[in-house]
Amino acid sequence: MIALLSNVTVESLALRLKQDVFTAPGFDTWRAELLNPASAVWRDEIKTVYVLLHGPALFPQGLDEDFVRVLSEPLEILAQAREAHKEKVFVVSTLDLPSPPSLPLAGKNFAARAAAWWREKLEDMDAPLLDAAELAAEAGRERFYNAKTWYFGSLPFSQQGEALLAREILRAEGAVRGERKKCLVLDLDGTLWGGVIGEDGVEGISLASTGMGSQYWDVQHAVKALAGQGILLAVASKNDAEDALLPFKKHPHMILREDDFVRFEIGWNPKTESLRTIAQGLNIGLDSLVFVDDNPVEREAVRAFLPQVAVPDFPKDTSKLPAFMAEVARTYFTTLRTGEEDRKKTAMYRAELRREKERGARLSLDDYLASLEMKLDLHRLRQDEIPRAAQLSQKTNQFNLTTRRCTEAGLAALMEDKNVRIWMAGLRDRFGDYGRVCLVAARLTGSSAAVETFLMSCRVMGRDVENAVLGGVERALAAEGVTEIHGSYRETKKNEPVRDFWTKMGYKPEGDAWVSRAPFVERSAWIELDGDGDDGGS
Amino acid sequence: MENEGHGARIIEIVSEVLGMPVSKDSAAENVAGWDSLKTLQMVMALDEAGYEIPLEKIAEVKSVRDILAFARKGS
Repeated sequence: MIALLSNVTVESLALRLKQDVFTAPGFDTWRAELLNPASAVWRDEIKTVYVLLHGPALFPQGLDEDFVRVLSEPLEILAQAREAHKEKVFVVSTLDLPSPPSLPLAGKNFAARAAAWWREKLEDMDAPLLDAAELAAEAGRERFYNAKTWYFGSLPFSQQGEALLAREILRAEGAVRGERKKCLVLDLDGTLWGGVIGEDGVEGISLASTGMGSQYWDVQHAVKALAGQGILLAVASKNDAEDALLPFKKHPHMILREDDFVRFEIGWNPKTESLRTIAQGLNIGLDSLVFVDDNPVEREAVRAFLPQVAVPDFPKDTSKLPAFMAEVARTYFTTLRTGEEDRKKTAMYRAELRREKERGARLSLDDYLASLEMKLDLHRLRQDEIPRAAQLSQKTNQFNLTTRRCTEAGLAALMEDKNVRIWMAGLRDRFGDYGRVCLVAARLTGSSAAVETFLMSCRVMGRDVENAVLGGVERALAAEGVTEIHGSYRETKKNEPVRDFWTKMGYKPEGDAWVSRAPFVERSAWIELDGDGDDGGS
Repeated sequence: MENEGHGARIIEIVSEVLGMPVSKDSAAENVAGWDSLKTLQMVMALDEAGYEIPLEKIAEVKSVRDILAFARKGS
């Protein structure tokens, strides 16, 4: 049960709350109630005391430079009541004080000063606020108030004003009862940026700091603010995982960073599955999740199959997105206050989650790779494979260390070069044959070799295939008496994923290359080598 | 009667405020829960829908008929 005390008529507002509300009998008795140790306000059933003050009614004599004296008394009463009743939560309103009607343009606005002074004092008391001033500003005073009911019944608010106040009070009640949601699960395309990353690329998506695209910038700021208040963020996106993360790594106007999120569920699973995984991974209930997605089909699916998850409607016009996100924040994530301790707890929680995630991911990735029963066929490039080799060379962007594009003629010429070795690799697993997916070329100079081309189709990325291929190449080169291998990396717009390839493979940077010397390291337990890297060729 | 075209809408608003359907013959004395607070809420709801009851007439509202008589379509 709550108590609603005020200096104006609030019985109508109390009715709109549709729950048991104690309102003090009589009019403008809120001071007496708070000062009276025997008041019904202090009953055990009442957990929260709302004090809603109509600003102008605090100044029956008019508002002038003496406002501090006028406001000090109610403030003192509030402070005393809080001190005497620490078992109750006090939620106190800000003051909406219209400027005097005849203010000269150069005059001092004591109304604005008084409202600011009051708010500051409440903030200093660390009192949760019922921000009536903000509600009035948002709705507009014309709509927030009703002069007729004010003059007739000391009821200053319009129906809309009362509805807004009721909404805020119910939100605060939710916060008092700890009904705040814990995790905001976000879609990416069309939600955090405009367009489709998999099709439009990092440069093509809509996201900017000014003008068109800045609606998403504003949305991201709103989401970032939630993260700062201890709300966990997660992503559920139907996307290619590498594509989906590119904006986080590369886009100059991304406000949200990868480490703002505790979990990324990116793939082609149904989002209901992603949401389940997220809830399980965070060890929270589905009813602690809020799911935001621009796609109505996804929203409907989640509503139908996971009714515990809160799924707000998404605005049709993207200019309404920031306001929508602010509303989501208020509706689901209102909290009385965020303490330093909460923020620290959140950071710790995240660190722990990341550790668990990494442990879990490594374990399951190993299991997964082993379960694939991959077989790699590594062999010297054959004449009849030149078209496929040229095709791979032309088309491969991501896993391509040097991005030297070769034509069929160019490849044929390289094959003639007795100092050049070219390998092709095909991959099969228990699900099928991926065909020829990897091309490597090395140039020999005495006992050293320089890897001039190393590329692989993105279809088989993330399976440790490159490790097995390199292992096969190293063995083949060693068999020819090579004791030193040089790797190189030439950065392009697309090949960021392999920036650290040589380091990961155990090569040591030397100048602008990476070097490994015999004996070369043992590699890849997951992949069975079919070829020995030496058959075929010319 | 005034508000010929608006009567139905006004009665609908009054019904919403009272939480039960009323007719043009309903009055505070024969509708449970119609107190001065409800009258005030009717004034608020009618205001928002664009029907104004003059301030000086609010105290005289005792029935739906009164409301229909007093309410003016505002600007």
